Amino acid sequence: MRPRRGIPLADAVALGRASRRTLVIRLVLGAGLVGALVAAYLVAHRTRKAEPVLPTGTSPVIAIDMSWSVSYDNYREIDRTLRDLASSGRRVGLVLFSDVAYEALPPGTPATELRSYLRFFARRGVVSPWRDAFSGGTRIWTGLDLARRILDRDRVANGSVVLISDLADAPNDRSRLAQTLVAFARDHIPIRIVGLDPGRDDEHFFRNALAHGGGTVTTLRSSPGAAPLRKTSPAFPTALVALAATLALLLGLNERTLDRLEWTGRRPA
Amino acid sequence: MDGPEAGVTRRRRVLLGAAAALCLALAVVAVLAARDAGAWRDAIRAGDLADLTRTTGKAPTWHADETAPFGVGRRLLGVDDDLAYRRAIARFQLAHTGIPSFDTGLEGTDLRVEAEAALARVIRAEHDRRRASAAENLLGVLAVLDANQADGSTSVDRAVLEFQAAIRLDPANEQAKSNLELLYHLSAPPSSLRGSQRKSGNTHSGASALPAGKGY
Repeated sequence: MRPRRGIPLADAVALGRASRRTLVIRLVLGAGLVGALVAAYLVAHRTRKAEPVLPTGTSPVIAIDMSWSVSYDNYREIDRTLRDLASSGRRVGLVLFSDVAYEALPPGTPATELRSYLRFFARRGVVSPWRDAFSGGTRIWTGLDLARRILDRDRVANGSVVLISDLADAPNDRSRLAQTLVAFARDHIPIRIVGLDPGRDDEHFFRNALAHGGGTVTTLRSSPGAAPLRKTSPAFPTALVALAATLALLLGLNERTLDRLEWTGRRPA
Repeated sequence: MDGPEAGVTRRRRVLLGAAAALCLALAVVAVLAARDAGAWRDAIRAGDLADLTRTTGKAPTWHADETAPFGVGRRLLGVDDDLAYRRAIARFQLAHTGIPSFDTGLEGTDLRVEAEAALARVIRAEHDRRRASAAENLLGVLAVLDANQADGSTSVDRAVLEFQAAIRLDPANEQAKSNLELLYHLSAPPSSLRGSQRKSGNTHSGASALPAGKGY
């Protein structure tokens, strides 16, 4: 065994206590660092980012279901969602649909223009210009199909569609809906659905239809005690930031208390 | 130790420490990815077995709990397309039971929409032309079911296009050829030659009705 190299020190025994204390601090800091690192990894692994309503990196077209059930029962949710979208600073297109679909705003319109539609969702039963024209049943495929054709017409390469609806689709339109979803998959257009208090079966159906790469479904519940609306900005990862700060603090402590002792001779004046 | 030398030694120590930490992190990721590779192998085997022995109306998920960050193990293995194909086929089997009352009922129709969307995603993402062709063929079959239920002419046209696309993708796909021929035959208007043959009951009037060849 090689002896440790060093300068023999006459009062080394007197430093024994300090040496042991340093060892203990080093072990505690080391364990703390490893623990914080593992915890940060686990938190990052388990934390799911709350997705914004408007898909990032795409040119979205928003399709709003104007059927009677939605505009009467879910006007508050639409109002809040539209306000959130209007303040997103993005550029969007807007399609309104019920039995038939109508292009309200072309793609690329500033999202602030959505504010002019808020007055139709301010309270229950507001008379809208399209109420008699097409506010009846829900034919989701008409809204989705028009949104897709608009993206195709305007040659939007990275388009996406945000559907806001209660998802209570007419069952006898399923074959047209299938055809529309197939076209979306072929054109590689993601669909993000904001379900307004949808029925369990309807929600389950759309979740399955968009599973594994077709899009996502977010639901908004109007019942008391339901989860609040998600903002368009992602949730702040508080736990992860706290762990990162702990890690930085422990590293700082390590540098402050356990830095190697260095000294130099007095420099000649 | 004095000025410049001490600085060089300190920098070297820091660099060595950083390199060691990087190597350690890479080693940890490699171990986790290796663990995930094993988990995916087991999950695919278990899913395939569950699919073969399935008695309920629920498809297996072919799911593995991943531990490596960003799905590194799954990406390295390149199993995403295999999983998508398996899931789409399972959905097709759920949607197309051959029991008309179920297939055209509400539940069957919903399953069919889900299957069609899944098959379309497979066709878009699949690099293997044979598998993409098989998916096109199945999509055509579901479009025929759509045609039986509602909106006949559009769905028949769509089914024809799907079968044609399947044949283009894989000219050796005999099932797609048979399906296309059968669909042409069944959808021919009564005034046409095929239609009149169908009406008279002489349904085997295609290539299958010819005597077998004798070679050279």
